[in-house]
Amino acid sequence: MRILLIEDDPMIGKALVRGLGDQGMTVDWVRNGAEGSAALACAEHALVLLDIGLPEMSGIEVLKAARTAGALVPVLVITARDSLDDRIAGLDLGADDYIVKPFELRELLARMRAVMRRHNGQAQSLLMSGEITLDLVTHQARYRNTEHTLSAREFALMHAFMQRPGAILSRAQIEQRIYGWGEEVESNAVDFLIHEIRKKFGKDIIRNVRGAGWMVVKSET
Amino acid sequence: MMSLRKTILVWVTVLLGIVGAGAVAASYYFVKDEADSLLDTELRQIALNAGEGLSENAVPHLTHEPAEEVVVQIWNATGEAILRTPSFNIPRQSKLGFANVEFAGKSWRVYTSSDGLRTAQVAQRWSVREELARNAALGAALPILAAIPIAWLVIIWAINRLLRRLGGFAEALAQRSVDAKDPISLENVPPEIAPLNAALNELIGRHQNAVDRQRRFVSDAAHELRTPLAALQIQVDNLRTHANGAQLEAIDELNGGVRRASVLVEQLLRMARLDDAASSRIRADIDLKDLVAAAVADHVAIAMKKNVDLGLSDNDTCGVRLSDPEIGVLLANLVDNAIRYTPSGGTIDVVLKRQGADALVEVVDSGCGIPDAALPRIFDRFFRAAPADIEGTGLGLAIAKAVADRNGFRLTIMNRLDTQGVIAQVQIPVWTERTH
Repeated sequence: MRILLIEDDPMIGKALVRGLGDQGMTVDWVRNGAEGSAALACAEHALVLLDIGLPEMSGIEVLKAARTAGALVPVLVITARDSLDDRIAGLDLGADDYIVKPFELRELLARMRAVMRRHNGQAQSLLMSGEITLDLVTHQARYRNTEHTLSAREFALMHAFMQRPGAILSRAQIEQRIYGWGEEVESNAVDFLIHEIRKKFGKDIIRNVRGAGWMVVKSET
Repeated sequence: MMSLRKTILVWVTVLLGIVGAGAVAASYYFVKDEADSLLDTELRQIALNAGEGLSENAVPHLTHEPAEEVVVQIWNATGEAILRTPSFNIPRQSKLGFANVEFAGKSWRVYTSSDGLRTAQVAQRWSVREELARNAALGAALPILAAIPIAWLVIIWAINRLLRRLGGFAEALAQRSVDAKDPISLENVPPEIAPLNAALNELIGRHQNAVDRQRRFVSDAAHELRTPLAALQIQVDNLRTHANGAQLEAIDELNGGVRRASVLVEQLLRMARLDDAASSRIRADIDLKDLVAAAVADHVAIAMKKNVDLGLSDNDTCGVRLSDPEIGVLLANLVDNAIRYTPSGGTIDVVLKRQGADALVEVVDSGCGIPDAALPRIFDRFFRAAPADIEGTGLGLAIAKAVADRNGFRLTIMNRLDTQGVIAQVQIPVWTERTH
């Protein structure tokens, strides 16, 4: 996969070229907006990593020019400014996602994968959070190194969690999500389902929050 | 320096005293003089018209001493007395006109007139005249004497009114927020105060500039630090890819250091943003219950890693809605702090309950507590009460406090009564959010 990196800071540039290279990507690194624009025009890259804080021609201008010229390549913006206005400005101009400095390499890789997936139209079928992946079509779930196909109820439960990772769902909320109206709900049905899922993937896939309910963790902390 | 009120009072009192005394003295002497000449005219009139009056036996009889009366004596051309008051035989004066005579041990004012046929002599005791004159003079001076205290009271009232306006000005100043950038209004300020007001406004402007500059500096510095930190972080991650066993441990240490610096930079930025009260505050409508749950949910993973039992208890339905998303940061910092200070195997309870009209969020940990000596300083920036082996930036509670302050919440950190940990308590007046 060929990546275009537009970044003026030599330290970050070098580190990213090496880090992404280790992941088997080919990185073309340019250090200013003008060269970046020219490279974008060639349309040879699968993904663009664009630093907003470039000297002279800013990242925002590069992005604006590229989108105006009709470039469709997915762009992931790297920014040191995280005020809401900055982020909205970037997304409004056609960035596919943004990442705020400083960041870990694996977070950047995850974002790049997500952007690529969305761009290739696969996004709707996969829910990802942290180490959990849930395939909405095949009902396959993946956690760490285990992969299993879920039963209908198990899938409904995981789907409820994965729609809002990091949020706590109470027993009542879970029952509401996985049982239809008028359906008989046994008192320990939720506990049983969670027990089943934990047995397949390990205890940590669903976290218990005392006094509140259960949740899946949003991203690894 | 003497207060304005005191200075004015002293001067007004002295002035009123002098003017009053002068007025009383002047009116006393003028009126007395007037009364004298009036009595003289009266004596003369009596002398000119005496003779054909009623006899001594006319009714009604006088009830008072004849001595207070005017004594009239008339002599004919031969010097025979035609009319006299028996007990007062004042010798006939040789000189016509007014004279002062001593008779029977008293001073008399005498007027003698003659038309050749008769000589009339009218006399009046000086003491009587003086009493009459004094009464008249006092009558004239009394209103002035009475006017002095009244004038004094009116002036005091006026001064107090005036100074109250100044007091109002001072109160408006005192109630200003530190972050208020607008100048103090010139309305309702006496023009004499306007220059002071203008100078104050100028000072506020300069101070605000300095504060802005300082905050911008912190914010810029933190932003600038992000780029080298990002580079460091990626390099550490790159190292890890190629590392083996022994190196991995060193890389983890290095990674911890980079992360810590990153957290510090984030907190500095947050602090700078919170200091900027004018920064666009996103109007949100957040349920306090959701915020509390989110603060807990966000920390479940860390708590588990540390084997700390983090949970909610007595989660009351408060129905409080909040407008400032930073309140989530406040709660998160309290939970984060509790996890830091609670050893493995400990428990942290997050409690949401009602207390009167207020909502109360408590984070109760089973940690080591805070030394009493450190309690007053825990909200200071970069102050750390923790033992050195507990990591932290010293900004978490300062940020929590800043969020609490700008929302009008009361944040208290105290040791548990059983000394088994700390209770962090946020008191959220429900009304503060309704007023937004």
